[in-house]
Amino acid sequence: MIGESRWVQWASHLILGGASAVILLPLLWVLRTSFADKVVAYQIPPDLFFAPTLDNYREVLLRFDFGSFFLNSLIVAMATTLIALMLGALAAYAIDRFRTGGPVMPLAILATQMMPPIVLVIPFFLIFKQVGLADTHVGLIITYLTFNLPYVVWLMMSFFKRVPRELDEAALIDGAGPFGVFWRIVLPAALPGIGAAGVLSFVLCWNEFLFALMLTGQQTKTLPVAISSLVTQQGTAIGAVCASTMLAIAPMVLVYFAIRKLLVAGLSLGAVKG
Amino acid sequence: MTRVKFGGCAATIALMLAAGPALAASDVCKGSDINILMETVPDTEALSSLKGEFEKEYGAKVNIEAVNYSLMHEKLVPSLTAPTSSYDVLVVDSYWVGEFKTAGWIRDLDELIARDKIDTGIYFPALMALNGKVQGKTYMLPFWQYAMGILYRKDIVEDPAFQAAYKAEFKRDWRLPTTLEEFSEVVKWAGKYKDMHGIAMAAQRADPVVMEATNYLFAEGGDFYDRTTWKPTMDSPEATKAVTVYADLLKTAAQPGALGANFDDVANTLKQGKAIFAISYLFLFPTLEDPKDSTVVGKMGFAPVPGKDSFLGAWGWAVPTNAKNPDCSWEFLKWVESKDVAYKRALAGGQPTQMWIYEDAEFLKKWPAMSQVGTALEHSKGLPIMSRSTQLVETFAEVMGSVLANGVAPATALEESQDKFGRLVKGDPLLK
Amino acid sequence: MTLVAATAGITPRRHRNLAQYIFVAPTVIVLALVVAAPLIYSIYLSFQEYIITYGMGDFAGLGNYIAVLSDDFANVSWVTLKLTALCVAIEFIVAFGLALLLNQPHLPGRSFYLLVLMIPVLMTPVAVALMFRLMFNPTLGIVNWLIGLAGIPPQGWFGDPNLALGTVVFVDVWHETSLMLLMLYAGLKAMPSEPVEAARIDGASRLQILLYVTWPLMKPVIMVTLLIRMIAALKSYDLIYMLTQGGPGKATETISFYAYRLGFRFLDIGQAAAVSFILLIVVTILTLVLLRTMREA
Repeated sequence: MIGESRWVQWASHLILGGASAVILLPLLWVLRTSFADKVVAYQIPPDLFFAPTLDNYREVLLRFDFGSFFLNSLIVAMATTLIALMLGALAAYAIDRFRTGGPVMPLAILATQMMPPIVLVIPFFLIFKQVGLADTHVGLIITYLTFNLPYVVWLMMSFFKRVPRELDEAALIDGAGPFGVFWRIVLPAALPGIGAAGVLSFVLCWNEFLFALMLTGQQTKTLPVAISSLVTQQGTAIGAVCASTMLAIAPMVLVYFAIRKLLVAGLSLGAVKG
Repeated sequence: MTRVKFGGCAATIALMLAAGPALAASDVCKGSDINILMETVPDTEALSSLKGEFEKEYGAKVNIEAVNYSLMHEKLVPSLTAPTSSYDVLVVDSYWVGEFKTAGWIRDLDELIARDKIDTGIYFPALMALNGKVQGKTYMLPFWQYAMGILYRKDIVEDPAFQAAYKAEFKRDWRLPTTLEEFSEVVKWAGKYKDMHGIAMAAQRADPVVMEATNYLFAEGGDFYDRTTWKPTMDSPEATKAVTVYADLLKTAAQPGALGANFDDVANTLKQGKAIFAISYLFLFPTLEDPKDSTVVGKMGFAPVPGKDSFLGAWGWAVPTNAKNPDCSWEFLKWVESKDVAYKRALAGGQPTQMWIYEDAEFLKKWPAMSQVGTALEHSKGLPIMSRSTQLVETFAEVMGSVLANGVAPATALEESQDKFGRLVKGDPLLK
Repeated sequence: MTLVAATAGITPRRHRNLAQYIFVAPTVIVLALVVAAPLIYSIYLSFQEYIITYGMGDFAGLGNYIAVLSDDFANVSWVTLKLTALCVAIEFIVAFGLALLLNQPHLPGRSFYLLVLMIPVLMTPVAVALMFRLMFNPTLGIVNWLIGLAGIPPQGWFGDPNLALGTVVFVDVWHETSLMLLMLYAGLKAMPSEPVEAARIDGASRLQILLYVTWPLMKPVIMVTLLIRMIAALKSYDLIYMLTQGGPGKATETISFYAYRLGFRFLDIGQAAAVSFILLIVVTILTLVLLRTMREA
């Protein structure tokens, strides 16, 4: 038995290590490119010991105004995610526990996501321009909310489904209202789900491109749109693209380390002993 | 309305302008915003650093929004269909001209040009025809020229050993190719001789492959349509020849994977010294001559496309019909194309459209390859100005795709495309 | 569609209390207000002759549908299905496998692996695409140089009609697996631990536990994960846009990229709406099929 589990451990590390390498190697190349000028970036065979330059970072931070694009992305993604989690978790709870709206409800909610964004974006733009929401954070947040809510609702439903109903009923008998049950019993039991839905929503906002392109201006532009502007007809500023990619990842990694303890605590809290 | 009175009025304004331009202009622009959507080309930065002058003089704020060039169209269209535009000044790619005109998105500037006595004769006539006038009316002032030609390794072809080998092979002294066929032979031979890629090509779908292959088409004297009857002429022997040569070069002399390459890949292949020739944009020179970008600084030459015509692209400044303050937009156009500002943008690496700049010693000293622009423009033409030219580009790209990727015979693919090209011009108000 | 559902919900069969409606209302209102109107408008447009350049034309009947269906739609659909099926299947298998490994009780280095495996989702598709275009560049990229060291001849990657789709799938898997992994890992974490322990005490093997305990318990989460990923994959076009523009030829042209070309390059809103509506039907059917299979399995 011990022999087997050691073998499994080794195999696990081999596979996980391999997968991590597949992720990390291209990223190392991005890191290298972020310190290279174009001559070095496209040199084959590659020169591994080139003199690094900070030009790309200087370009991105000083001329390109990376900071405000990053902030725009962060504001929009955070705000959307918070609102989506609040609204979505409540809706998911009601749909899962009370079958609110019958079997059609979840499908109807998801159906709003089945249209390709390409045809929605022009009407969106025209309406938003009319009501003064074009080129604002609020406009983008509302838009993203409509993309993320259905996914958040569905994901949360799948997590709530597994929280035993006996727990609700016990709480109800103790005199808790529906919101009390949701807040004190069901939500804590599905905490990993909240985490997953939060990250899902954040990432969808963080990476969204088409609506960000149409609904923002120079001041409200998000990172994906800003990075794409480094591709010009005269060439792609590949070094600057890599530098901004690195700068976008770095704070997230730091945040991860900062809240790792919290995350682990949250995850194990969620593992209810059903 | 009495013309005399109006003339007198204009004269007074002109006098006021002469006396104190800041005063008169600020009446129009005070408190306005000028929003422009541009891409980050070198002279955009020059413009950004100069815009303070405009702001001070006219009391307007200039906001330049930079996006990826291929996304500009996507971003402009919704804005132009809205009641008021997000942008007060437009830069219009030459192949959007017909579309923008037909949709009624750009303002006729003739009256303003006459009022303010703007001389459009300072622009290259080819550029005025392509990115200035539509059906005899002026809608734009040319902003950038996108002349194309052969970019080649001067240091290689001028090497005596190379020229001797060339003479042994072709039984004549070295010369730049004069026909497309000769170009193709030389490219293939030179690539083998130097053990490099004879040519760097960009055959990625839509813009890259079309911009390149159209050069081959025009060089052979072919065209998409007979430009008087608007019958499609892609079944012509010239078109077949052009596509055949293009496909042959792609297969035998281009860098591997050229079928997925775009302009940037061509530029980088040249910059890394991996290819000898390319048919591409002259505007690549500032980056080819930048030691941080390129290993071939000082080694590149430019020559017109061999054969009949080359393909010309351009951008133009325009005022959208739904601009918030069109008078101020016009003031900006005048300012940005004024000699002083145009010259500064040119020195920063822009691609000027005013002829006199190409005679300026300082400019030519900084960008020697630019002395060829005049010659290149003389034998060049753009895509037909039609309402659906973006679709023309897509349609030609589909033809090239079926030849290059699926191995359909050029004659067959072109023959089959005739119908599609025909449908594009049906009912087009610009072609009547 | 949402509106219908909302009003249907107001006359409930099980009238427990008002709270549930208050819980659902904000979501339904947001979706109905912001999505429903453009959705209905674009369905209307799909029956309309409307090229932006020429302005709104006549009623087109099924004209737009006939036009797009006769324009090589079979190829576009086939590419879409291949791409979606490959991406979703590979991503699911990899993600579920990794999630199971990560969920082992004693795993040193877990948070390191988690961090690394999560990084790709923080990169915008634009940057991911540019990064892989750099590395897969046939003449100037590191990939061909590396395989050259192993004696493999250089490949055209995005420029090779036979390899382009596979290369796009690789990039998509690299980028999108993380999100699936996250959802599945969270699903495993939130799983009650007692059934697994009970099975272990009964002497069940790892495989038996996986098949008879973990899998059934994970089914709701797996289903939603597949569903979310499938819908996103069917709709996405930005990776194709940056990597291949649908080429070489039409080797990587998907339905949504086709819709994008019709809408934004041809400005033919009528046809773009028609394609989108067809895609909507396809997505709905696939969703229902997926839901049914998962429920039965």
